[in-house]
Amino acid sequence: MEIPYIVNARKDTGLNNSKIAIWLFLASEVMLFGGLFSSYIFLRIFADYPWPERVLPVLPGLINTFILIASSVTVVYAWAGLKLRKWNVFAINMTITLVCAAVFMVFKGMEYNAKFHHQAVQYNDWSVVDGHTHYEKDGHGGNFYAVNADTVTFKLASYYDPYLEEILKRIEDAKAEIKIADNYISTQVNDAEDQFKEKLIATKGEEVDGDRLKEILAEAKDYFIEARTHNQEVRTEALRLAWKQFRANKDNKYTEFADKSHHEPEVKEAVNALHAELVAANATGDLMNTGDSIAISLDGALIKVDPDWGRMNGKKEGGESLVKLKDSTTIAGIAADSGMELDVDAIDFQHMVMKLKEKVAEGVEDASAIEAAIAKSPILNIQGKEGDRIRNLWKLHEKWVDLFTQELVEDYGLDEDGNPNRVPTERDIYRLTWKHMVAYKRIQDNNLEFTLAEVKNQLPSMIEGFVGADHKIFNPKDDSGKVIPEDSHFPSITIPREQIRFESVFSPKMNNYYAIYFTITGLHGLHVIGGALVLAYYLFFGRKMYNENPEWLANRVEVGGLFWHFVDLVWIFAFPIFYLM
Amino acid sequence: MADSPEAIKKSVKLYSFIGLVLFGCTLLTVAVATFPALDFGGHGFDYMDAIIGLAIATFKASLVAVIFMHLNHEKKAIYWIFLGAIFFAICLILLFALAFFDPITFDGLMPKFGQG
Repeated sequence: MEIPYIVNARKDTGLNNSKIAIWLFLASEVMLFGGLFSSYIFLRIFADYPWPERVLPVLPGLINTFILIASSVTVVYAWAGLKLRKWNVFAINMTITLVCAAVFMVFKGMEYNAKFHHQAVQYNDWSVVDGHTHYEKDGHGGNFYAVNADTVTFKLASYYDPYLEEILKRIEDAKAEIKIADNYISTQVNDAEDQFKEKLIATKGEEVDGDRLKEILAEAKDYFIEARTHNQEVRTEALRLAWKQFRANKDNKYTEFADKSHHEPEVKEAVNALHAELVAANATGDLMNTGDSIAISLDGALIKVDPDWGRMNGKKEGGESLVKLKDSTTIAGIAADSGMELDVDAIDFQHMVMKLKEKVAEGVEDASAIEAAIAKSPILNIQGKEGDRIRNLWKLHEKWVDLFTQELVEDYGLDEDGNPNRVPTERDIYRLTWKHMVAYKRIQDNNLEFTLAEVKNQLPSMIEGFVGADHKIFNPKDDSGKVIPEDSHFPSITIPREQIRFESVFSPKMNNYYAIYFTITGLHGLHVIGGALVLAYYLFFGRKMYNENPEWLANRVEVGGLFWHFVDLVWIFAFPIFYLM
Repeated sequence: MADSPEAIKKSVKLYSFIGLVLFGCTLLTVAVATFPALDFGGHGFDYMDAIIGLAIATFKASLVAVIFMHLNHEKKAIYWIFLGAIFFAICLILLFALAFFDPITFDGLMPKFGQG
């Protein structure tokens, strides 16, 4: 069938159909991204935490903007090449466009990757440190809940295999013995004798290895699901019979509850009792045993799990602790050292200061409370050499803030009331960034004079700062090329787990800023991939169409190009909004 | 749109020029955000930076739409579709303003989020 109006225009619209179609699609896209940018404004205006301004490295964003603009130019060149019937011009420009798309995605990937490996920790007093966690040699993450486990209880309906595997691996590492904590008995109705036939799936005190435990859990899970289904059927049938009798006999003791709310405790109690009574009285079959979990005893084996897997109650080392995983598996025992080892590359008091300023405004706190709270904060009170290094860096930062404040007054003067026209931002004052840490360290190492100009000189270059702090670059190495941790630029600390209010890598979970950043840039990235696939199709499969009907291919490329320009257009707004504001 | 080879050759030159203007505007956006001498308003990011940054972005977006997407010589139907979309997008962008008229969660200065 011939498709109408793909080359020639329709009389009523004056356009070919594909063009109308792409513009309708772009209209929906404008509204989609319009809604997302609206969310950004909403989240930013009403944020109840210091909005991360200008935190993304500008250079990759800038390069990506250039790349997209260049690809927008080459895609129109490609279209013009087809219009002029020059296949080579089309092919070369389209190839450049596709290379641009690939490079854009590579930069995006590098940027995302750096974020997913960068950690932020918020202390209970709202102060924040950023950094990189240490990784253990066996490949486990350096951020975990650690428990010397006495009992691990698996819920049969929901235990999740990867969690089980990790727990078993940890038990193996600890060379611990696994003992079944309690019997698990299955009861099957033996039809012939109408009696229960019991089977011991798990025996109390039995010593098992990982494979045997998995077998036991799998068998018990199958039985449990069957038993639960069976019991539900018996109960439903029993209640159906009971309801029939209930309706037949209006004069019974439960009618007194008819007018009462089912939320009232006495009604609840009565209903539960009635439920049990009716099921027992009307049961058409026997109820099977439905123990819902199997527990193992471990004699204090050290188990470490990823904090994203669940919650830890009792985080203080040496105290009683219960870790509940998302699959309802519980690990009970004594909390081990779950401290987070971090190479600190930023110290940030902005959130803490924001909270305190709210209190000062309410009159609850005095203005001097801010300075006192910073001095008291755990990050500035770490014992030992690493703590000294942090205090030293923070002291230098305070010195830098003073110098910078003076410079702003000298450069921009005072207003009529004698207040400075320009003052450092809260971010300047209360956030010590990795770039400044590096500059301060270089000044000290080389015995340079601490001035504003020297700090500026010693800041990492744009290339050094491409994807944020790379600790390996800045750490000194010995002759064999091994990093010397004792003298790294970035202080290495351990944060006790009970001091942590919140911790996260720089993923959407971090805060609304990163949530909307990943949503918009991620969706934009998908558009880049989609657009590139369509354009690649024209390039690699368009030759035949070009030979038969070059104008048709030119129209297709124009339509694909319109989409590509739209992708560029979204980025033109996304770049300043996320990288520069 | 003019489809003659001459017209297309001419527009190719225009595309190159617009490409350069877009590069220049991008550098300008970064410059006003990073160089203190070009920082209007107070030190650091403030509403002036937002206005200037978004004005440059809007100018760049208009160039892309008008020249690269050929809106400078399109048919009426396209204008209706495009302007309709822009209208609704602006409506969506202004939706956040409704929060200021919500008597339950708004206490006059800031929404009462997170205050129980």
